Parts: sequence; C-alpha cells; structure tokens
Amino acid sequence: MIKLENIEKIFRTEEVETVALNSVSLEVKQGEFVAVMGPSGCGKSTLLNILGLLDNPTNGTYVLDGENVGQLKESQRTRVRKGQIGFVFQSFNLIDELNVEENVELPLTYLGVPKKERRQCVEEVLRRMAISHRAHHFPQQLSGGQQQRVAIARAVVCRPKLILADEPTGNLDSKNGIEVMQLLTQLNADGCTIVMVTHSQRDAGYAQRIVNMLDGQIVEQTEL
Amino acid sequence: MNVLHRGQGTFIKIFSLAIGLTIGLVLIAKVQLERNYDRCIVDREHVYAVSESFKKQGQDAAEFENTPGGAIPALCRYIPEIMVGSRYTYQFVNEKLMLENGERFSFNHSVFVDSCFFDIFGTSILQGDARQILSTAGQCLISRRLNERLGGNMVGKTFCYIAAPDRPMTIGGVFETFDENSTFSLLDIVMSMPSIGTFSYDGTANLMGNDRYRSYVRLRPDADMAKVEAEMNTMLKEQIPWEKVHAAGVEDYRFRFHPVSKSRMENTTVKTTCIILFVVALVMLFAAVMNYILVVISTLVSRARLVAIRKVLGAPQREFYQTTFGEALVHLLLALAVMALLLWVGQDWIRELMGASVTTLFSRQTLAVLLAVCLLVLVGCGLLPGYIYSRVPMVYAYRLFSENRRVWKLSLLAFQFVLSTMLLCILSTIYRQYDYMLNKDLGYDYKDVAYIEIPQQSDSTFTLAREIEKLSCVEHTATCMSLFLEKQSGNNVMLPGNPRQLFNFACLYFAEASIIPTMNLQVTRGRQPERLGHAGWETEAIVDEKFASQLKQHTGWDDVVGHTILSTEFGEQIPLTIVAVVKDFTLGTLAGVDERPALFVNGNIHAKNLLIKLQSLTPEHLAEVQQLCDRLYPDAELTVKRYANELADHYRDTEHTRDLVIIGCLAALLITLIGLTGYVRDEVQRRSRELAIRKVMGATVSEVQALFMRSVALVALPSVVVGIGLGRHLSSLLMEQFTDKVSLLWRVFAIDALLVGLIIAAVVFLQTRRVATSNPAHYLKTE
Repeated sequence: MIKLENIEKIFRTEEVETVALNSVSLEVKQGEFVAVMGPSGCGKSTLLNILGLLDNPTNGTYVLDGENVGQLKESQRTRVRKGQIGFVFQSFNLIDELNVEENVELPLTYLGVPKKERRQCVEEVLRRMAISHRAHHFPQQLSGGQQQRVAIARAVVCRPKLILADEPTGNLDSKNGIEVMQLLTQLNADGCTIVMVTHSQRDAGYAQRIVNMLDGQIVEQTEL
Repeated sequence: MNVLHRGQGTFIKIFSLAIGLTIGLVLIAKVQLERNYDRCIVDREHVYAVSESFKKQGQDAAEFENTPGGAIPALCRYIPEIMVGSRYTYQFVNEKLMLENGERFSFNHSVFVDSCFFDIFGTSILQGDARQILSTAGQCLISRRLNERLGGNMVGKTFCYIAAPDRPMTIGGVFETFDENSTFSLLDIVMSMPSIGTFSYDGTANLMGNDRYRSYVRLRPDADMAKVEAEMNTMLKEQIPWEKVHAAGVEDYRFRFHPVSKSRMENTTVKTTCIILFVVALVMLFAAVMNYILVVISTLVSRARLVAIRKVLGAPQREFYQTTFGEALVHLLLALAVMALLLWVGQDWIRELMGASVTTLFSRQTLAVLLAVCLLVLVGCGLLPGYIYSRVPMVYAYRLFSENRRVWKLSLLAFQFVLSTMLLCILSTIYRQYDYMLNKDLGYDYKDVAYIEIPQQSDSTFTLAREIEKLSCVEHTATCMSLFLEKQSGNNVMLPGNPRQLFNFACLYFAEASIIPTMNLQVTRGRQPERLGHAGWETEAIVDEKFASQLKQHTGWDDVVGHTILSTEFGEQIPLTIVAVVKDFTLGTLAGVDERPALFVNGNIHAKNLLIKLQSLTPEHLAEVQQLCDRLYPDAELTVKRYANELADHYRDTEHTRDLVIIGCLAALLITLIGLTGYVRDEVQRRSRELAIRKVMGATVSEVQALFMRSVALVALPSVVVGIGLGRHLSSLLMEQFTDKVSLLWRVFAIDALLVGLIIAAVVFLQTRRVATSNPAHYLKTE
C-alpha cells in the first residue's frame, strides 16, 4: 500500500539546512499495523506528514496505493488525501467551536457527502466509538479519552484505507490510553492500515511491526 | 506602557491616526473657517446684508443679493435704528494698473465704497484718513499687500488702470490687507464712491435698476425689527417709483435684512459643501479611531497575559486606563507630528484645494475646535482599550488568551465598511456631476474656441478681429460684450407704443453676427445677419427660442422674425428688429444656469471679448494668435485663453469638492483596508489550528478561504447596503446646489457597492492565501 524509496526531507532557512529524513525507504502492506519509534527529533513526525500527504519530500519516491504521490501539488495532495487517509493526533486537534457531531462530520462535508448520509455515518461511527451520548457536546466538555475517541471517530468516518496516528495516547492516562489502542487494534482488524508514531513501548506492542528511527534514518525494523 | 513595542501594530495605529487626523482636521478647520467667515465685520451680531426682493404677477418672490445704489441712503434716512450703512460695488477684477513712471502692476480686486465702509468692514488703516479719502472723488486707499508690491510709500502718488488710462486715481491711504477668510481677502484698491461716475454710470441715487451694489447696515443693539420693518415700508411707499415698478409687472418690491453672522451658512452651496466636508471629516476621524481600537483588540492576544499577570499582582483598574490613555496620548502626539509633516509637504496643494492656507486653517479661529477634536480622539483611543484591558480575566496569566472578541472587531469593521461605501457613493456622484458639467451639450460648441479679454473698449478690437481672421488656423472671429458663461444683465421687453413690460430677458448687449458660426449656434428661424464691415451696430436683434416662445405667448406672433420690439435699456427711441431665432443655448454655467430668454444685438461696440474659432485648439494655433496680438498691440498685454478653461474655472468648487471626497474616500478605504487586513491576519492567526485541522480533514484552499470570505461577507453585505443608503442621501443633498444635475442612479451605487465588495474580497483572498496553501502540519505542530 505504501512504498517509500530513498525519501529525503531537508528544511532550509537562510542560514541552516536541516536534514529531517535521510534516504528513508519503507514498505507498508495493506492491512498492516506499523509503529514508528525513535527519540525526539529523529524524523518520525516528518515521516508521518509525508505519508499523510501534508508535506512533500525533498527527494525520493512515494507510491501510495499504486499512485506516485511524491511531488503532487497542494490541490492534488488534498484530492488524494480526502477519504483515503485518516489522522489521529496526540493533542486530538478537535475544533473547539464545533460539537462532537460536527467535528466527526467534517471530513464527509469536504468529501461532498449529502447531509442525510453524513448524519447516518456520523451516528454509526459515534455508536461504534461508544460516544453517541456526547454527540452534542463541545470538545472542552469532554475528557481527554473521550476527545481522542471523537478524533478517532473523525479519522475513520469516511472509511479510509490508511490511518496515521501521531502519539495517539500521549495526552491520555493509562486507562484511556489502553482504550484508544484497543480501538485502533479493532480498526486494524477490520482491514484498516495503520501507521502509528509513538514513544511508548507498550503501545508499540499493539503493532505488527516496529520501525525504529534515528537521525532521520530507519535503523531497525522488528516484526512482532 | 507599551508605546513602540513590536507586535502591537503601533505603526499602523499611528499611520492611520495621522491620515485620519490630517484629512479630518483640515476639513473641520475649513468648516470652522466658513462658520467664522467675515469675522472682520465690526460688531458682527448687529450687521445685516440688505437684499432686494420682488414678486411678479403669478410668480414666486425672487431675491437678489445686490441692490440699487439709492437703497442704503434711503434706508438710512428713514430708519433711525440704522447706526451706519455702507455699499460697495466691484469695478475691476484681476487687472493691471500703471504708475506715473509707466510701470505696470497687477492687482486683485478694486471696488467703489462709501466713506463709512471701514466702519463696517474692519481692518486697520495704516495711513491716511479713510473717511476723508473715501468722500473725495479721484481718491483711493490701497492694501498693504499692493503698497508693498508697488514699492511702498505710495501715499500721494497717482496711478491709472490699464483699462481706463485717462482716469487717474490718487492714493490717499493704506489699509491692512483683509484676512484670508473674508469677502475682501483679495481687495487691493478701495475707491471713493464719488469717483464712480468717472468710470461708469453713476446709479448711486437710483432706487430702481442698476442694482450692482452690495449693501450693509448696522442696527442699534436694541433695534426693534418690527419697527425697522414699518419704517422701511414707509420709505418704500414714499420713495419707490411704483408706477415704473408696476409697469414692469412687479407686484411687490422691498428690501430684506439678513444677519451676516448667519448669511454665509445660509448659502446653499456653502451649507451643502460644509455638510459634505464635515461628514467626510467625521468619517475619516471615526475610521481612524475605529481602526486604532481594532488594532488594539487584534493585538490583545499577545498582551493579555501581561495584563492578567498585572491583575494577579493587584493592579487596580485605573492603572489599565492610565496605560491606554498614556499610549493613546503618545500615539496621538506622534500622529500629529506626522500630520504636521504632511501639511508642510502638501501646503500648496491644500491652499489650492481648500482656498485657505495651512496657517489660516490652523489659526486662532479654528484652534479651539481642533483641540477639542483631538481630545475626543484621545478619549476614543484611550477609553475603550482601557475598558477591554480591565476586563481581561486573571486566568489568562496561566493559559493562552483565546477570546476572539469578534463582535467588537466585526462591529468596528462594519462601521468602516459603511463609511467607505458611503464615501465612494458620494464620490461617484460628484465625479459624474463634474464630468456632466464639463461635457454636457451647452447648445453651443466651444471645443476649438479661444478668446481674448479686451481690457480697453476701443475700435482697435474691430481691427484686431479682422487681422486675426486672416490667419490660416482661424475659421471665425466675433467680438462680444459678454461671454455666454458669464452672468448677464437683465432687461424687459416692450412693444412699440405700449409701455407694458412683457418679460425679463438676459441681455448680452452687442455681439457680432459672426458669433453664430463662431459658437456654432443653430439658426432655426430667420436669416443669419451679416457682420458689420465697420465699427458700430445695427438695430438687428438675435433671440433664442425661449425668447420667441415667450414673445408668442404675449403677442400671439407665430413667427417673431421681422417684428420690432423695445427693451427698457435701449429705450423707445431704439426699436430692435428680430432677424433671427437661434436654438436655445446655456447661459451661465451648469453650476448656475440662467434660465431667462436671451437676446443680443448685431454690433461690435463695447466689445470686452474677442472670440476666435480655430481649426483646432492646438498650442501651436494658440501661439500663432498670441504672437499676432503681441505684434499688433505690444502694450495691451492681450492673452489668448481657451474658452474651455474658463468654463472649467467656473466648476472649480465642484472640482475641489470632488478632489476632497476622492482623498477622503481613498484615505477611508486605506484605513478600512488596514483594519480589515489586521482583522483577517488576526483571525488567521487565531484560527490557524482550526484551519490546519480542516485542511487535514480534506478542505481545499478555496474552502479555507471561503470560511473567511463568509464571515467577512456577513458583515460587509449589510454594511455596504447601509453605506449605499447613506451615500445616496448625502449625494442628493449635495446635488441640491446644482440647477442642472445628474440623476442619482441606483445602478451606479450598486457598482460602487460591488467595487467595495471586490476590494474587501481581494484583501481577504490575499491575506488568507498563505495560510490556506501552507503545510497544515506546521500549524498543528506550533500548537
């Protein structure tokens, strides 16, 4: 599903040139659950941004589901990303002004799904995430665990093939963290490919493969 | 205090305040000057301008600023409440005089006045006894300005006007040049009234006709106006030649007193212009203050923590007001400094535009009002920010300030949108009116017409015309007494053997028949008369269609051509035969159209102007004519001028108002756009995380931009509608001063609104472009 070959990402300012990713090659198969680990600043989030088409690599090839997406323009990246990739962030990134239902509905809105259908999808996913009773609450009225469940609901509402999770349990207590990891495992079991960045060895244990990074390079891959 | 710290929009605040203050204060100063106009008048509260009022059968009463010469002496005799009365009448404007040694000097205005002129129009008499000088024929006083121009020490010396070389005047004294903000600011020569007969018809004792005098009286402070009115009625009854008045079809004839303290502001043009200037000034000041507050609110995010920490440490509320007022004061002073710089740089331009120098605009007469305005600006800029700071919750000492205060910001923006749209609507109206005035078909063609003012009435004009006509670039020439665009005298029509006066008409007196092809007038009936081959005149009258139509109403003549008429001024001995009727043409200008029928007599005497129709009005052709004039009459100092320029000069006030509104409009738009830019930038910053999330969720660039467009449009649309309404109302008020005016079209205002909308959309588009196209991960990471 994902094939990266010799990916490089270099951030340049007037004075400094920082190599965030250095000749990274990685393959992720459909339905796989991969955890990416490594110390802070090793390039995990940059890798995730490139995988999620939020950013383009400086060099290298990125093939997503058979399509070369390495050097797409902004509008083309948005088109490919829409409906195919779901995102889960450490800080949840829910929109404060929108309630739970509206937050979850957002990706469907941008996909142009009719309103009635959107409502059905949202209801279904909220039920699945056991958060329907909070549908009309605003993010600040929810606990961290509930917010992350809403974020996962939003990530999966348009049934993406790929979910990218950036330290999804980083802001949660252990109980809520476990619940979130169980949800992700369940989604993977349902056929969704997951790439998760984490610092937690315990969370990485839920994955099928662990990719270790250091200084912008993949230094080790471990099948679990 | 945080006066010049980065990130507080200080430059924007000072810049927009400076722009707003410069335009706002200059305009308010101008309005204040108008309110203080003619402060030179002594004991102003008790001085009245006397006007002439008469009512014709079946018509509304008409009123004229001028009176006959005998009005003041008669009123003074009959009304004891009059302490002093004085008249003045213009004789020469912007002409030249010659000293005994042959040196020539230009001067501005020259008038005849009564001996007590300076008792009413006060200015210092620097040399001479004004009363005595003004009682003696052939004597005059000159202004200090002219005295200096002539070399000083001019008392006792004589001069003559170039236009009247055989009538010398002796300089008996010098008066201090009148204040710039006065009727007499350009007055250079004050001649004694007894001299008038030397220069023109002496109508100083007339109570009917020759109404060329501006008359003023000062009443006793305790004067009973009812008594004054009764005494005037006695005078009218005993002194007015009522038989003549009734013969002219006039039912009622009287004089009216208008307090000079109010008369300036009662003038429709002055009043309307003042209203417009005041509105533009308020708009500018309001927009500047609004923008200041908008920037303060927009930068609150970066300042809230500091404010909250100070509160936690026990700072009282008044401390925040002290801070904001202190900052506002410093910003205001800096803005005033920038304003002073702008005024200094643009002083010539301001003088041209406002008709007053910067020093007069910012003089004692206006300073109190301007300081009060600055104080209000200070309160506006200090009070609301102080209130907002004092309301920042202490909790923000520990977490990020995220209150958006959108209601405040959008309300302020809405104000600015309303004001900008309103000004743009006024601007488009003024622009169309000015364009209309310059390009409207006046019934004659002046495109390729030049003219020469003839300073001295003489037969040489006739010769000059013939010589000029020989030039290959000249198609026609015609001498005439007055140009069509000038104010015309009036005469009444009579029929031979019948003393009844039928109607009043604008009398252009003498013009050569060749004026018809020169000005491209269209003869609709009769024949075009022949131009005379010698200096003189014929009893041939050319009238316009309005004249023919009115004559038909009174006489029943289907065709007036060939009929003989009399006019009051030409008298019974000189019957005029109508030889041609020309299509109606505009007399006066579109700023003040003379609606009366017109008549002129075929002749070349008393010519004051020589009209020249060129093949094309090129600088080369003008130079060719000028060279010929200089060669033929080297001492006459004749100048070949473009007729179109003279016409445009008559629209100068409209042009200035247009220019002022253009400046106001552009400045208001600029301030609004600065405010809008600040608002959008702040909103982009505040919502950057949300936008990034939306992008991650699949929002396209245009969808992200549409979010902002929608929120701004919700404010802009109703604001623009309100702005159109206000703009249309003020435009109609402005148009009241024009007799011939453009209609106020909704579609034009709709285009104005569209333009404002497009500018707003463009600003939002550009401001949101960067965040909409950037990597959303960056904004998520910074959170």
